[in-house]
Amino acid sequence: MTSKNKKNVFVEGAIDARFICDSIKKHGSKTNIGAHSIFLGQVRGDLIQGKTVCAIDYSTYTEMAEKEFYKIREFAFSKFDLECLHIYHSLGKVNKGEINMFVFTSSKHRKASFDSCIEIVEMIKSNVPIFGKEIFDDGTFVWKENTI
Amino acid sequence: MHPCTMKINIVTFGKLSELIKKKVLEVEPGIDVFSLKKFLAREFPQINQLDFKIAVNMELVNENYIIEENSEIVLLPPFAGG
Repeated sequence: MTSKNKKNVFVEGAIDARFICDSIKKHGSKTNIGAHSIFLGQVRGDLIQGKTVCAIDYSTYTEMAEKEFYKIREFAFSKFDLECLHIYHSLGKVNKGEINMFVFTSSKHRKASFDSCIEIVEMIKSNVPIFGKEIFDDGTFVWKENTI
Repeated sequence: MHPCTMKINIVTFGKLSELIKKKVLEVEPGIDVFSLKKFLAREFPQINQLDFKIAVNMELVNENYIIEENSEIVLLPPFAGG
């Protein structure tokens, strides 16, 4: 198991659908896996005080975020019977409709991949210091806060 | 520096980085996080209504945590990842 490996989570800009496809394909050689779960976060074009969000500009406290992602990986591998786990999150500008997060859990049977995926996404939202500036069409912005 | 103060380094993110420009503060030695928050509210009234957490050495700390001289105090506004 590779839970000890330090993984590079952050990617610059949006996460491309081809990257996600390639990641799925790569797991074809791991024939002990029988179930994958994928969560994709997508930037919404919310209407806030009469203005539409056109993008979110993500920033982070890198050192602490990497430490938190590592803790999440360790937790996930200790709690669930996972074969594989990948987490990617965007930094910088991601336009509405584009993907900003990709969580990919794999296990022998479906329950571990389903359950771990949900818990990992919740932990990322509450524990990892990532900040988002919601940019409007007119260039103004507000700082985003996660809803529980 | 005043003999009865110690220096701490402030690092800010998100909205707080727009509101706090001062990076080094002089505070009372042995100050805890609770008192530091009150100090910050006095020093930077513009952050009074804002919710934020404090991290030291990449870990969130609670209000009883005692801050050491030259510590890097990281002010973290609400998270927005995912």
